[in-house]
Formats: sequence, C-alpha cells, structure tokens
Amino acid sequence: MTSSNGWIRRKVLIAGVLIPLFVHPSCYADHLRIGVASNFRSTLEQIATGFELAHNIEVEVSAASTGALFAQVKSGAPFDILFAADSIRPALLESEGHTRLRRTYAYGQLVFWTPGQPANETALKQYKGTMAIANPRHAPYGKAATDTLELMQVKSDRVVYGTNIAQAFNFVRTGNAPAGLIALSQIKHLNVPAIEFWVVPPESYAPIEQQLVVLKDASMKAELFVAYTFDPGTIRLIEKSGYLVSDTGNQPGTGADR
Amino acid sequence: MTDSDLVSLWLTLKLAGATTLVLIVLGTPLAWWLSQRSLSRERGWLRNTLQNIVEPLVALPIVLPPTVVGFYLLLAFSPNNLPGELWQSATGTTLAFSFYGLVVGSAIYSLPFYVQPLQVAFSALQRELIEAAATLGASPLDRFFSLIVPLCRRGFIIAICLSFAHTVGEFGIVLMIGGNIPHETRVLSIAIYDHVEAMEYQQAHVLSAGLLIFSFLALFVVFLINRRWSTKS
Repeated sequence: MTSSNGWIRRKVLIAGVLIPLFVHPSCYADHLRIGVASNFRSTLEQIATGFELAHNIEVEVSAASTGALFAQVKSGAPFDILFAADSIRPALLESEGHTRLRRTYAYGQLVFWTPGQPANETALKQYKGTMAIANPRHAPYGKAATDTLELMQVKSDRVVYGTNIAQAFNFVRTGNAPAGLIALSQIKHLNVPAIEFWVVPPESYAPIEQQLVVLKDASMKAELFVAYTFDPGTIRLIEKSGYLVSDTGNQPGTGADR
Repeated sequence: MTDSDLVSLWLTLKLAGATTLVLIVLGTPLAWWLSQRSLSRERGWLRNTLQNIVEPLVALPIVLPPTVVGFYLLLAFSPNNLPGELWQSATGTTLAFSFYGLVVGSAIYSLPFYVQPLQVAFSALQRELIEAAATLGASPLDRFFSLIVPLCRRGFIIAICLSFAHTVGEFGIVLMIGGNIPHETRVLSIAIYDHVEAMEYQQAHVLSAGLLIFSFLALFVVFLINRRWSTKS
C-alpha cells in the first residue's frame, strides 16, 4: 500500500509539472480554435498562417471528419469556428441554436484518379477494378462519388469505402486500390501529374457545398477570421487549392432554404 | 437491428472465430516455446536470447496504437510491396479490403492476449510430470494432448476467451485496412462508427449496448474460471 501511495504521489507531482504546459495555449487571450473537415485541412492551415501574420492572433486547427466534429461540437467542444465538408450538419447546428453565423466558403470538386494510368471520362466509364471512395452515408464526397458512378454507369467490381475522403485517398496512394474518386484538393496538394487525374464535371453530382459556422460562444475574433476567409487573396488561395468559390456576394445555401 | 447490422454481427463472430482458430494453431506452439527457458546458461544461450527478443515482440500490440499496426499492414498489403505482391500473384485478389486481410490483422493484434495466459500456464507445469510420462513411453504429441492440455485447460480457456473477445472489440486496424465492405469487412465496431457518423444514434445504441454486455460476460467468465480453478488445482 505504501508503495502504491508513493506511486500516486509521484504521479500527482508529475501531473503538477506537466499540466501547466498543456494549459498554456487556452490562457492566451487572442486565440482561435478551428475544427476543419479533413479535405480542407491543408488549405485552412495556409489561411491560418496568413491570418496569424496579419492579425497576430494564434489559431489552433483540429482536423476530423465533419460527422466527428459535429458530434464534438454538440457535446460542447470548445471550437470557435467549424469548417465543415457539407451544408447539412452546419444547418443542423444552426437550427439547434449552436451557431451565430453560417456561410458557404467553397464547393468541393471530385476527381477520378488512377496512378500510373491516363485518366479521362472513357477510362472512368470502362473502369472495372477496385474503386476507393469516401463513405457515401456520411461523407459528402462519397455521396458525390456514388452519384457519379451511377450517372456514368461505371462497372467497378468492388467499391471500397474510406471513413472520409482522406482515407479513400490513402487507399489509392498506398496502391491498395488502383483507382479512386477523391477530392481535387488532395491531388493539388500532392502535385499529381495532370495525365493521371480527371476532374469530374460538377453536373455529374449534387454540389459538395462546404459551409462554415461560427459557434454561439465563440471569441469575438472569429468573425475577423471569417472576413479574412472571404478576402479576395484568400479566395484565390482556396481556388488554387482545388475548390470552386461562388463569386457572388450572396452565398447559395445560406439562409432561408433549409 | 437492421439486416445490415445482423450481417455485421455474423461477420464479427466469423472474424473472431477464425482469428481464434489461427491463434490456437500458431500461438500454442509459440507459447510453449516461450515457456521453455533453458536452465543451462551455456547450452541454452542462443535459445534464451531469442526468447528475450520474441517475448517483447509478441507483447508489442498491447502497447502500440492500432494505427501503427494498421498503417504498416496497409503498406504491406499493397500490391506495390512484396507481401501484397506475393498474395496477389497467388490469389488474384488484394489482402486489403478482404476478410483474410482482417484475419491477418486481428491475429497479430490479439496475439499477446492468446500467448501470454498460455505461456504462464505452461511455465507453471511441473516438469517432473511430463518427464515421468516420457519415461513411461508417451510420445511428445501424446504427452501434449493427454497431459499438458488437460492440466493447462484454465490457461487455454482464458486465452481463447480473451483473444475472441479482443477481436470482437477490434476497431482501429479494421478501420484502416477494411474499406467498410458489407459481408466482408464491415464488422460491428465499424458499423457503430458508421451509425454515429451518420447521426443514427438509435442504431448505434443497440449495437453498443450489445457489445458492452457481451464484453462484460466474456470477462466475467474469464475471471470466474480464474478464481474457481485456481482454488481447485
């Protein structure tokens, strides 16, 4: 017993030394916490770096699937802004009174990627092997992928699901699946040769409308970040990263349509 | 429970059963070998050194995050790399996204849960008994099945229960190498994750509560056997 008491005391001591190290960032007055859907992570990190330089406000980015982020926010995760990969969950959060602002920040683009093979419409229509896509039940890119497979009547003999678009991408990148329907942003990030991927025409699937929400109890600096996100320079960066941005001021999908 | 949940349940039981069978066949000799430390320093030097290396290797899955095992399996299963290439040329399919791939992953991940209890049971055997059986003319196989197995039944049952239950509870590796295919790789833990991600909390509750009860019962049996038989023998 005495030895286990000593062990506990030592643990408390260690915790006493370590915990302040981890607590430090949240004591920061100018500090934003942003949850982001996996597909937009690298773009958001670039935006955040620019924002930190411009405004001297620290930004912490946590990436997860939109579904996981949604569940976390509902159970009180301390995010200021959420960059989702869809518009359904942001609208739900809004209707449940968790938010104070909702806006579409980008439209995702789907690509057909076959490493080592030329990719184009015919190649997709004639593709017969294993195809990696995101899970259509909860990932917006997965829904777009099944829409496309159906419309193009692809006869792939096996469709495998990644829990999100990042995992679908990894299945192809590691060579376990010879092809996949994934996000253009991922391809851009990796500098894939243009011959290996084909951007699926946006008419082939329901739009992947990605929305952000500012959460109800967010820091007042959150709106500053949102304004920075819609700055022309940032919009160019988002487009360069493989997204479409609606250039009109009024964002489709916001407001009264849900 | 929906039909697809029932399919997942059956698949989970099939995976846990297949994994446990693989472990019985491969893990039993391994546990036996690990339990036989050589008493002579000089003659048993090589064997003891090998055991010192293999023992922590077997225990690694306990401390490693499943993501590490899953990541390396994903690379190993890829037809771009040798193990995946060999499998593909032999069977024409890939190990990733297949039931067999999951069996390989689960067997690695549950290995310590099978080997360790058995190794402890083997180590506790009295050598004199086995030597006596040998002098009476019992062959090694005969000694194993009619002497060692009955004497170590507690270790066997605990090892089987733990590796079965641990495979049922597996998530991380399956998530990384499974590809979520109904009838093949969508086991219960993945189905639960899916329901939660799709905001179907009701279905998630049904499956989660079921797993909770199953896991409790499995551990209850393990502890019961441990207590009962330890006082008897």
